[in-house]
Amino acid sequence: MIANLASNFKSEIFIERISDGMRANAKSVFGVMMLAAPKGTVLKIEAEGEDAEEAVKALVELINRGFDED
Amino acid sequence: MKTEGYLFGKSIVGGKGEGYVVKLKDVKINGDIFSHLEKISRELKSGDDIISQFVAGLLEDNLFKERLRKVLDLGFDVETSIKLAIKPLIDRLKSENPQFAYRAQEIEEIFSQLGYLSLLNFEGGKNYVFVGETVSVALALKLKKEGFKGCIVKHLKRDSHSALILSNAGIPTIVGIDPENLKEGEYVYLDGDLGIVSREPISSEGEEKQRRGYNFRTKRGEEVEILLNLDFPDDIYWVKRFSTGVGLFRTEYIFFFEEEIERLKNFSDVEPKVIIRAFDVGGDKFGGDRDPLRLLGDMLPKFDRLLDTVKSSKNFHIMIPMISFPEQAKEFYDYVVVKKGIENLGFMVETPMSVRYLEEIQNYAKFLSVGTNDLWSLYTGKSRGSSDIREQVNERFGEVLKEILQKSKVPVSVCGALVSDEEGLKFLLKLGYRSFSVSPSFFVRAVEIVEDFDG
Repeated sequence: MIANLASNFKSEIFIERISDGMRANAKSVFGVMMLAAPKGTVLKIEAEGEDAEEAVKALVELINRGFDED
Repeated sequence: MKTEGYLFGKSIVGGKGEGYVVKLKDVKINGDIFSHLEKISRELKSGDDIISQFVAGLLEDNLFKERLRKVLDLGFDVETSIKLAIKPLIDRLKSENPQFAYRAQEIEEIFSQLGYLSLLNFEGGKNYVFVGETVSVALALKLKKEGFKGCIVKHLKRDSHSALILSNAGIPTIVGIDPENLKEGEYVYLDGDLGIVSREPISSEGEEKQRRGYNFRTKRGEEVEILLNLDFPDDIYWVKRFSTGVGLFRTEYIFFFEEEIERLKNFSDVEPKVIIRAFDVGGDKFGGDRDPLRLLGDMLPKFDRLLDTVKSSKNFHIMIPMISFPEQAKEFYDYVVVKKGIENLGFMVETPMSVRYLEEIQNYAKFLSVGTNDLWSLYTGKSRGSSDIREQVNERFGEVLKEILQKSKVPVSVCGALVSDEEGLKFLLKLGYRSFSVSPSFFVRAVEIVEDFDG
């Protein structure tokens, strides 16, 4: 879901796992899965490009909504 | 009605189906793997489940494709390259977090099948039943799309995504049947509720009911008890289906998933009994002076928890395997019967020493059960599973089994794989055994053999 959503934006988007600094391209399913981040993991989302702000906001909202799983 | 031509498996998806057998022709891909993967990805996207969408996403992922291209460039074949390309993700998910380990295994299984182009050979316009080793997610979607009327496989996990797709599609599915038993193009009937496959229309429920119960009679009117060998709390399904008891509930699974011990209470009303076998205490490896309870070590609290469950119903019996010496039996008697107040204690007879000391061992038991698998293995030095089960049908092993029967003063049953074999069961009946525990897939046939027995 993260990779799908991230792919809608033009910006480069990265997700970093704070505990060990591991970074992944948010548009890559493979990359995001490599983070192996269960519930409770502290993540940093970075974006660079013309729609960076909207991209970060959309991803944070998706995570805060619990990935719409409820 | 005879069920000799029936094949018995386990229900994964209920319902009835019939059609011509179609088998998979696996062709190894060595051409343009990327266009093959794109095709699979498109098929997966037509599915409505999350895992299909997720795998499709992975297949289209540039990072995955880049890794795959690099490995292919190193000269590996397609199958190996796919496995190597996905390996870092699998390893990471497996090692990083136990929550992800199961998912990782599932992804690994799906990817291990991607190096093959799966060809289903059928004309269309008729009813078809798929027969194979297993069903991948992509293939399950294909069966759904093509309107298959049934699915018969050797392996498939009930909670796998392939099984969920088949269930959503309403395709009756049976697991546990070797595809070698069915030929391409022959017409078969399957009952997904009962887990039965036949070349003739399957009998009505009324006839099926005749094969229910736990006491049956030979032609000469001798009573024979037939119970089931089970592994999982969910296997209560088999007990209800055949209205019989459990002669061997193996505990390997529930000891790994301790919370499952509690679910054994679902069996508390099962008649005539449920014999729960505890774990191997190593009685075959140590002398009689060793303390088997101490050998349990960290397992002791789990054993106690199991005993609490056993105590909750008069139908529950506890059985200790791998006992060799009377001292070991006494120690368990003191712990289980005297200290815990559980009367239904029994032992497995599955080591040569336990046969030798049977008269003394049984002083501490309410019942005995012969474990033919280990007994045969320990007598002959052959490893379990490496030899044909019918090798056990011979005079010398027969003498050992007869000795056990002659020495036994408490009820004795047999629960090894030999019982779930036609020749094996006839052999045991001839030796004089009258109480058995069989695998569920053999239950109906076992009843027929007993009712036909005229010895």
